[in-house]
Amino acid sequence: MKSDWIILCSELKKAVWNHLIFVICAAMILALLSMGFISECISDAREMGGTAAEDFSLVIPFVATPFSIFVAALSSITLAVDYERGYVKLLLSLPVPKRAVLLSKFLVSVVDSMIFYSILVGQYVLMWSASGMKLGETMPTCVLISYAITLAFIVCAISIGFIASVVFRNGLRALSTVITVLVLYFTVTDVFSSYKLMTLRIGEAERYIALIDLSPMHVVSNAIDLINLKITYRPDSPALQIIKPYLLALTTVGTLPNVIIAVVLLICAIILFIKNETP
Amino acid sequence: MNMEIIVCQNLCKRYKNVIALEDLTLTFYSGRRYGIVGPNGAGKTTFIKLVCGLLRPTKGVIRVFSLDPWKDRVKILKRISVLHEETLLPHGEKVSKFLMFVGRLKGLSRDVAEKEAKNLLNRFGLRDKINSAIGNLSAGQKRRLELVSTFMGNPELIILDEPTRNVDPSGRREVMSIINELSREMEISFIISSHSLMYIEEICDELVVFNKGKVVASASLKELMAKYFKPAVKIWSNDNLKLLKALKGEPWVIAADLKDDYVTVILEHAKYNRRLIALLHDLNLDVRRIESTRPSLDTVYMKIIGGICDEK
Repeated sequence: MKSDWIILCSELKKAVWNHLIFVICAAMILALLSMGFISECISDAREMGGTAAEDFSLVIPFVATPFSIFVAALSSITLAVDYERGYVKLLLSLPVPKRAVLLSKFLVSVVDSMIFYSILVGQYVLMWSASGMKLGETMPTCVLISYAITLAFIVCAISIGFIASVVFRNGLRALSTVITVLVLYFTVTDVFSSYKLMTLRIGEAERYIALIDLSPMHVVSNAIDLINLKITYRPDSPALQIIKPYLLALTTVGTLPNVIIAVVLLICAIILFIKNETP
Repeated sequence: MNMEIIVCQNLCKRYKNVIALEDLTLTFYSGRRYGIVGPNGAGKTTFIKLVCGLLRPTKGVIRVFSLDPWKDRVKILKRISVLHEETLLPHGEKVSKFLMFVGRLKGLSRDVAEKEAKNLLNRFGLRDKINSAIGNLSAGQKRRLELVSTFMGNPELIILDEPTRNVDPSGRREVMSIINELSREMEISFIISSHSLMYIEEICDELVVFNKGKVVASASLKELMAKYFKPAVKIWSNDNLKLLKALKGEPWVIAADLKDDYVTVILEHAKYNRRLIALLHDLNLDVRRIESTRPSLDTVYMKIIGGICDEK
């Protein structure tokens, strides 16, 4: 247990000097680029009336979530780089449990991506607060739910990164594999989510909607919309009776498979790392 | 009492279609210094990796301190230290930080680790590099630093794979003499894999010769020297022809040859030196000079490896 802590502290210190600064800079750049979009949302909300919580599902899931997933994947690739440099071999030649090596790498990747995510969420909240707009009563729940669901996707990306690192033991090959897998996942789920599967009638209006939506951005967005239902619809609105179960089903169906995939992939990565030899 | 520290029984290791180790049955005892020699690709490094649990045996059994290295790697590595063939150092870190990290992982307290690190850095001539970044050290200094980290934590067994790799010739002698001194002071069991037979001969008292994944010879250095080394003597006398004729008639002489102004004699065994002296006395020759060749591990090694090639 003591060695676990020593490794974890060492990896975190290394992360601060090696890539955390890069992660923070990348988040700042993205924050600068999304500034205009958030300002537009704020001015629209000022004209039409609204809160930060209502617009949260428009900005955070489509900007912060996908980039954080990519940051997590890139951070996990440091395992392949460490294999290449022989650092993994050095650690495994010392009395260090294999689980400690993987756990420290996992936590460093989670910290990297969560800091990235937090900077973007922080910027959103700060901009709304600075403009004198209301944050909304559901804001804390929205932030929490978006963190929780994004974390599931982040675990998924880190696990894919670990598997690629252990299999290839080459930074470049692991990187290209992880990026390809993630781009494919984002594209396929996005295409699938836009495919008409169900017709929803609200009053006289007719909406074509997807029954299964696994796209990370849509899953987070749907979950936030679900939280915001009580402020976007009147309690007696007939649409609420239809939208609420639909969004609940969509969020559950979107989140559960991803959580299961994340857990399975993580277990696979752990087994692969522990059972793998270090020539 | 010498305890068994490494026991291998019918140990095999294959990498896809390549057999790295085949049917290895070998025992290493505590308190001894073993030299592992053999040509490239003989299986020396694979054996070391199996001992420290980096590789899993394909077949057979290996036990280190009665433990399975693949399953109990951490327990074993608390008692042994390994220096790998290639340099494995975090180049961005400082020397002191790296040694503290290694010391703490080996279970030393901060103070003890610091004291031990300073002491060992001093021994290996890296005293002034304590605050340097590892990346700024030369290849030889990096190797010395790895040796320092290997000696930290009072291990019971130290395994060194090519310890003088990247070290310049004068440094090589210095490093080997430090290893020799420390091994005697700390009473640690040693396994040294090296191509520098001269140093193996100086430090080790047991020799294991690997060739094509098999152990072809394993005994004490003295035994192997006696078995494979035929002592040669050069004699300068006033009548070389008479001497040559007399020597050729002796059963304990393997070969005798007349060179420019001396006679070379190869004896069956070093114990026949006395008979040779007696013969010279009997012949009543005026012997101006006698030179005896020193037995060298190079010769023994070449005979073992060469003998196998000849048989094939």
